[in-house]
Amino acid sequence: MKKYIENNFASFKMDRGILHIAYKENLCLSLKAAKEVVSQRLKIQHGRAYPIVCDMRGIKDVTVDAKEYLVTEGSVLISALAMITKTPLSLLYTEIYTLETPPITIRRFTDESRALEFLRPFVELNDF
Amino acid sequence: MDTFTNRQRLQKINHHLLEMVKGNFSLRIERSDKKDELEALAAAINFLTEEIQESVLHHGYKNPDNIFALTDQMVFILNRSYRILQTNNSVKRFLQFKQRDILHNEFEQLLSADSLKNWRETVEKLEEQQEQEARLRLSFKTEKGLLLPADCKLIFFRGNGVLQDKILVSSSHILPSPKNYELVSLRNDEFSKKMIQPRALHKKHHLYSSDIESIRAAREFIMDHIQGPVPLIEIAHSVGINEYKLKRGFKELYGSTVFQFIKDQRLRKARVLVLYTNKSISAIAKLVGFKKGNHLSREFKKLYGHSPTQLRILNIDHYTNNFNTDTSN
Repeated sequence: MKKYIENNFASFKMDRGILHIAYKENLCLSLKAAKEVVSQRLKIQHGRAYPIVCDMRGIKDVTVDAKEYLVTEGSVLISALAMITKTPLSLLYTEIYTLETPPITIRRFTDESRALEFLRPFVELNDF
Repeated sequence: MDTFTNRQRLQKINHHLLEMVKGNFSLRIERSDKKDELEALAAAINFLTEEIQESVLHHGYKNPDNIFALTDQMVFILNRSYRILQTNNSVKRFLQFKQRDILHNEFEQLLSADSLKNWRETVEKLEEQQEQEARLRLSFKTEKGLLLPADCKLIFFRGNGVLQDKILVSSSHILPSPKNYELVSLRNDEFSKKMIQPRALHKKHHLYSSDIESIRAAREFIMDHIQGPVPLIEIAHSVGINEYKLKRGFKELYGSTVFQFIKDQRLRKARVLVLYTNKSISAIAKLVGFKKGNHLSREFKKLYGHSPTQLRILNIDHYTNNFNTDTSN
């Protein structure tokens, strides 16, 4: 069973113990947007840490305060993070995010199936 | 055609970099919908400019004897068709347009594509609701095609008066530069005596680039170990500087003490966990690096003005779970 929701900034899908987040096309990620994404994610997770695959391809712009928020508040309850980047622009934002090294395991991927493979060991058994 | 477009994009990057060389960090490069290397370069430069601007302002406020922040405003008076009737000299200064080039033109022509939507929505709302004032963030296009983002105030003058049926748009800008400091101190000796001289008496402690690198590494070390105890001596050893230099340098670079920084980081994380999870306060305390729940509650109340439990009650609606189940998959 899959669970799916979307807000103005991203879509969220829980599938076999991995949370999939995809930012919407041409998104300017402001502080307000970052707060909405983090609060929606935490509501979905019900206080548990999950491995997350995050598709960064839709992001057009990120403000400095949004990045700060994602690095601090946005890093809670993430057991591992796989970021999908396929364009030079999404690669840049992934690098900016990982530059401040939030205390979680992060890897970049261009291929979603490899990202899921990387996250699988972080899935708790009862979530399969 | 594509080469021509790319040349224009490169020209804007070039103009922007020249403005940065002149010490102007208020401008941004207008972004396109492309996602190629050139767009990534423009995005990286904009991000860097925003960081430098914030850093310069931070030092301007912290060390007004070095750099002083002065505010300036662009003012536009528009008629009911939103055409420009009058501007002040700052418009030329910020956007480089001569007044005669923009008078009687539509105000919208000065706005970026992204701002246009925001502007139209705000104006429509004001017209519909018969309200007088609104605040909004707009990005103005400069003569060279760069963007100047600014917080603006929009005032509709209704009823009788000199500005009857006119619209006033003003934008605020903070200008940090030694020139401005000189300007302020020359114009207002009394103000400069009060604000600048006592600070100027402080002894300067300059950081070497190797110290800055170590202190940045210390910040990374803290971020990596924030969930457990992070004694100062351990941080200092991990990056190879002494505790005294770490304490002084950290405050100089980031504007807060090491302990305050650690506490703030933990409290910020705790706040979102309080708001958007059902975890107990003691569990949240442990998760973010506080030893006990009551320690977290005490510090939380000091910073946010209410305890974690009070915050949960105030934001009870955030617990509503609107996560849909799609059983079709």
